[in-house]
Amino acid sequence: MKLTIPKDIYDQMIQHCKDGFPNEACGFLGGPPGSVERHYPLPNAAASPVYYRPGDKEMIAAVNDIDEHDLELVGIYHSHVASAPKPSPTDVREAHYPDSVYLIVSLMDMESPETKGYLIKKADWRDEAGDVIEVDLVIS
Amino acid sequence: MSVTVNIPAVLRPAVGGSKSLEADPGQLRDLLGNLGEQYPALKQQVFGEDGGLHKFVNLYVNDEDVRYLEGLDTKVGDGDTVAILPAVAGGAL
Repeated sequence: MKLTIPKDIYDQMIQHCKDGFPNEACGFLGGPPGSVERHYPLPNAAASPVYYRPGDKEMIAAVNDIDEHDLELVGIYHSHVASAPKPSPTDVREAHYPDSVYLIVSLMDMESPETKGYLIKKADWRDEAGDVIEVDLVIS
Repeated sequence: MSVTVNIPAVLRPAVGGSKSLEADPGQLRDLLGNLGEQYPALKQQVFGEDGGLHKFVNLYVNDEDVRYLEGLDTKVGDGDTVAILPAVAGGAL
């Protein structure tokens, strides 16, 4: 599987992550399956360098906008400010959107951030344990 | 007038594919209970084994997290919107 992200949206996502430094930043990506058309930068209500939780009102507005445009929540992203772009135990435990790609932007190298995408599949979406499957990100 | 209940994508198969449902006003517990009678799979996924809200399910009334209101005792009136959303969180550790 792959997720295609327009270059301008990808750049906006990276900038949002940089702007949130030293805390983690987060946001949603909307589009038809496999493709990003809309970017929703969200505030990190946790305001933490090691944890993110999107602000409620902004998150609900994003979900509603995605629905109103008949799109899907194709991506959920956050930054790791000092570690690799790999899902942590917390990322896996708290992933409950089996059809969304979880993107992680590593800011270990602020000049050249690295982004990876993953599906986190669980037997029941409410489970804590899951299988991590890397997704190809295509920046077009 | 009635209450609009927005259904997230992961729960739409449990309600016949609907993005939203209409429900009668009242206490959130009763409102969801009534929907649960119509859609047992919805009830099974929203509530935990202890009968409370599942820890990875967030409920909002007019964009306010009910955990900061009166939980399942929160009263929902005509024209209000209830949103059900799987929790979104994570982090580097």
